[in-house]
Amino acid sequence: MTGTLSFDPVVVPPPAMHSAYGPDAPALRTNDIPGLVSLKVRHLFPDITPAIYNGGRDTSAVREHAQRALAGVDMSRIKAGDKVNILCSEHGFAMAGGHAYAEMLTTIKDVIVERTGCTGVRLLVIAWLGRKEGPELVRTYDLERRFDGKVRTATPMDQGVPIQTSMGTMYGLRKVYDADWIVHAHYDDPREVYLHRAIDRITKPFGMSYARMETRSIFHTMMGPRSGNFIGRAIVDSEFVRSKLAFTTTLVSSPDGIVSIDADNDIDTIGNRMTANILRSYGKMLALFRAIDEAIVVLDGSKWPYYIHAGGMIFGHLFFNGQDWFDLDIEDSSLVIDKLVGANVSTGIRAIVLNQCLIGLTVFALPLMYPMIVANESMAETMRRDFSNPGFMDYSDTATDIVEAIEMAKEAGDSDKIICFDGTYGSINLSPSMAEYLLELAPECSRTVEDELLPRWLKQRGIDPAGSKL
Amino acid sequence: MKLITHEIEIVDANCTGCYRCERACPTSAITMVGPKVSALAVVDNDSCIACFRCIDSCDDDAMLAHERDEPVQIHTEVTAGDEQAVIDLCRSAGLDPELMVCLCSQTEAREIAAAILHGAATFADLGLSTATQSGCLLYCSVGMRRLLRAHLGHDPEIGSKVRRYPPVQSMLDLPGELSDRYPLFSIGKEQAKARARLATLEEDL
Repeated sequence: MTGTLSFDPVVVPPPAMHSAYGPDAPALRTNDIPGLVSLKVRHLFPDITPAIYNGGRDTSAVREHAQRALAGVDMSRIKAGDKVNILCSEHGFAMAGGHAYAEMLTTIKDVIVERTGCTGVRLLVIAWLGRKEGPELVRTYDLERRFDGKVRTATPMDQGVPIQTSMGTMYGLRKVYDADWIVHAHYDDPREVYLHRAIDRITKPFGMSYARMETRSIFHTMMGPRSGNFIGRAIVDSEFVRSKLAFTTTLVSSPDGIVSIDADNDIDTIGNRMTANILRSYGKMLALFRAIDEAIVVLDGSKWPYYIHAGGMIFGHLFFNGQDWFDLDIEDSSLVIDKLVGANVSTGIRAIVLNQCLIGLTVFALPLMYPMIVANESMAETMRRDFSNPGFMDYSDTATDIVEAIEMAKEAGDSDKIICFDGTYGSINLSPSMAEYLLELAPECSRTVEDELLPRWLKQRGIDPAGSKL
Repeated sequence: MKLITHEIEIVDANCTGCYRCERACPTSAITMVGPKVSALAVVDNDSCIACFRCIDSCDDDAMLAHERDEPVQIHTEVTAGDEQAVIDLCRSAGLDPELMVCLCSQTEAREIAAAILHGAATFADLGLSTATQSGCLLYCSVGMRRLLRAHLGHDPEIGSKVRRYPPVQSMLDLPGELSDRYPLFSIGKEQAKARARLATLEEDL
C-alpha cells in the first residue's frame, strides 16, 4: 500500500503444471514476493468485458455458454457412424489455468454425441515442442476420462498429409484430418499480435498447430510479416479442409478472463467476430503495455517465456512493444519477420527475474538485452540444458530464490516497478509503484484507443465499427 | 553456429529397442545395433549436435545428457573467397543471405550456403557443419532444402531417418492473382519488396 492509494492483495497465480520441459516447481512463486499487491484490469479500463470465468475448477459457466453457443450450430451432416476429430492446441490450456478450454472441448464432444448419436468423437491434443508435451496436457486436464479414452496427441514432426492449396501443396498432420469431420476448437487470446497482426487469426492453427514442420518453416522464414498469415487461409480454403470442417468454436476472452463461447458453421463469420473482439477487448491493454517505459519483469509459469500471462496479457506483448501491431497503415521496417519483431523490443524493461518457464523456444536475446536473474538453481540447471538457448546462463545471474532475485533485479535495474507474468487473468500482480504508474498511463491509452485507434483498426479490416459487437 | 556442451549416454539396461531415438536423430548419431528384434541404441557423440530429440523420444529413461569435458563449436565460416559464390547460391535459392534460417543455432542462409559449397549434401551434413536442426526444428527445414536443391539441382537426401516432406514455397512463389483476392495479406506489396531486395544483391555482385 502506498501513501495515497490502496490496492488489492496479491493473487495466487494458477498452479504450475509439472513438465518434462521445465524445472521442478519452485518453492516460492510471485505471491511470495514481499510487498506486492494486485491491480484489477477492469480498474484500469472499466469497459473491459467482464469474465464469466477467470480461473479455478468450477467451469460450469463455461459449459453453459458452450451449450448455448453450440445450440445454433448445424450438426446434421455428422452421422452416427462417422468419425469426428476435435482439434485443440496447447496454448488454450495456458489461458486462465486451462480448465475453461478443457471444459469447452468436453462440452463440444458431449453435444455432438447427444445431438447426432455419433460416438466416434475423438480429441486431438496438438503440442508444438516434443512428444511428451501432449500426454502431459492429457494427464493434467483429465482428458482421457473426459473423452472416454478417445484422446490422441500429435506434434509437428508426425506423419503428414498433402493438401492442395492456392499456394501449392502444403502438408498438414495426418492425425488432424483422419476423420470424416473436424471441429476447429480455437481461442481468441491475441497472443502473438506481432506475428498475426489480427489478420485472419481464426485460420492460423491450420498453418501452424495442425501443420507439419515444413509448413511452419515456410511461415517463419519464407514469408513476409503479413503474407505469412495467408498460409492458414490457403489451407482453410482448400477443398480438402472445406470438405471436412464441420464447425468452429472459440473460447472468447478479454484480459479479465473467459467472457463467452462462440460457435459457427461458417469459419469466416466467426473469424470476423473473433477479429472484432480481439481489437475491442485487448486494444487498450496493448496500448498500455506500449506505454510502459520502466519495468522489472518477473516470469513465473510453466509455459514458454513469451506466452505467460499477466492480467490476460502475455509477456510477448510487453517485450515486443515497440509498434502498434494492429495498425496496418504502419510500414513494416523489414520483410523478415524475426528482424521486424526484433527491431521492436521494449527499451523500458530494466531487468528480468526468471522463476519458472519451459525450454525449447529461443529467448537468448533476453539476457543479452537486460539484466537476467534466474531465481533458483533448478531453473538455472534447466536453462543450461536448453538446446534452443545455448549460452543463456553465460549471460545470467542466479539467485537462491525469487525473493533474493527481486532484490538483485531492483538493484540491477534501478527500479521498483515490478510486474509479474505468472498466468493470471483479471488482475496483475505487481508492486504498488507499478500499479500507480499503470493507473497514471491508463486514461490516455483509453482515450487514444477509443477515439483514434480502434475505429482505424476496424476500418482497416473492413469491419463496421457499429456492427461488430458479439 | 552453436557450442555443443552436452553429449548423450545410452543406458543399455533401459533400452527397449523401440527405434524411436534413431528415427528422431537429425544427424544419424544414433543407430540401432544388433538383430532387428533385439537391437539396442548406440550413440556416436562425434556426430551428436545435442538436440536432445532422442531424450524426448525415449519413454524408457535410456537416454541421459552429460556435460562434455570439452565443448565443441560447430560452425562453417564464410571466408573471403567464398563470398561471391555464397551470395550467388543464396540468390538462386531465392533467399536473403542474412536470413536467419535456424534460430536455435543462430545460423543464417549464408552459413548454410558456405557449408554446401564446402561439401554438405544432405540435411544431416548441414546439421553437422552448422548445427541447424539442433533445436526446435520448426524454422530450418525449408531454407536448408531450398539451398541444397539450388546447388545440387535435385532434391537432397535426408541423411538420417527423420521424416521430411518436400514443400519449399516462399512468398515469391505465390501467384499474383492471390494479391487481389486476399488484399489484407499484402502479398503483392511484400513480393515487390522481396524482389527489390534480391535485385540489390545482384547489384552488390
